[in-house]
Amino acid sequence: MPVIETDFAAGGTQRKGLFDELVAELNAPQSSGQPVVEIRKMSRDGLRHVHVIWDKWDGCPPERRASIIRDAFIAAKGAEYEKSIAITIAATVPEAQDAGLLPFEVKPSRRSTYDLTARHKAYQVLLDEGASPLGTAWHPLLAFANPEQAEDAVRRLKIAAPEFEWGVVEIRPSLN
Amino acid sequence: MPRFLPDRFAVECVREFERAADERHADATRLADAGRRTGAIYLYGYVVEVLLKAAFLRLAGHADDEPISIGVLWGYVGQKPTSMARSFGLPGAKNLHDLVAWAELLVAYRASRPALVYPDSWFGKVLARNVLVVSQRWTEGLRYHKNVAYEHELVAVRTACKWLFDRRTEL
Repeated sequence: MPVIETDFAAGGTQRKGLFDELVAELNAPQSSGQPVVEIRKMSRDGLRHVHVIWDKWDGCPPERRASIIRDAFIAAKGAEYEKSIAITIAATVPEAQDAGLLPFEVKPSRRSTYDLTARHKAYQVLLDEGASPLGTAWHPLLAFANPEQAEDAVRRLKIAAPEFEWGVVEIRPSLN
Repeated sequence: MPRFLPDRFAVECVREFERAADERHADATRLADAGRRTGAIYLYGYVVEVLLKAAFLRLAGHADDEPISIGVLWGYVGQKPTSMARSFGLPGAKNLHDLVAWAELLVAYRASRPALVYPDSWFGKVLARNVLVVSQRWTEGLRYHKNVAYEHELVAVRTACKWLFDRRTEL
């Protein structure tokens, strides 16, 4: 039987790629798209919760995601800042929606997308906005933590693709 | 018109959990002393559950009076890939009353943060052992059954719960 030895950095190339991209995002945040990094300051002891919503977590085991986030925060913001992070949540967009973190979904109305060419355009503008193609719907999943963020996206989409009717739908996930 | 009991509940938060643990521990002890063994175990189990939840919520940074939703609890101990339990390689809980899942999460979380490691290395092991003692003899489904617990079962649960209750600020 072969003996295979791995180390903590198992999955090295994937880990390094995610780490580098996350550090770059923390150092120079983009105005839209992924990853979405939400830093929530808690009321006790200056602690923080960090959510990183990112389709690139797909295929990365849950137990590796947290260490990538913590290492990226050390690199971008320093060790003291990282110590203030009590909780990390790393999720793809569909996982985050399933966990109830992104209850406000933005999508085109069904009647405005019967035409195949129109569907392609809707697909592309949603991707440009940071939507996830990992879900099961015909269109990428664009979802947000609060209604204000969703309405902002609707405004941008109405400019990018005014031929569609864009709307916000609140999704209630199963909790467990 | 006076409000009914559920209408007088305070918001569910760390402080309310801690006070509820005090109250249910006193209730359980009265039942145990009166020989109502199954009823006592039923309440001791909830005491342990609430103590573990309050301990983890404090570590996670929730203020004493911050409302805690069911979704927040699932986010910590659930089985979804986004849960804290899963981020430690733990299986997570199918049920929010899963005492062992809460204890595993608490011990793993402390072990992962140098500033939060228990001062004595045995503490986490004894904590886990005491939670296991209770979880083997308790389920929230007890209320549906007429069985009378043995004296030795009550002694085991009472002793384990007391260990956790006496150290509730150190968990």
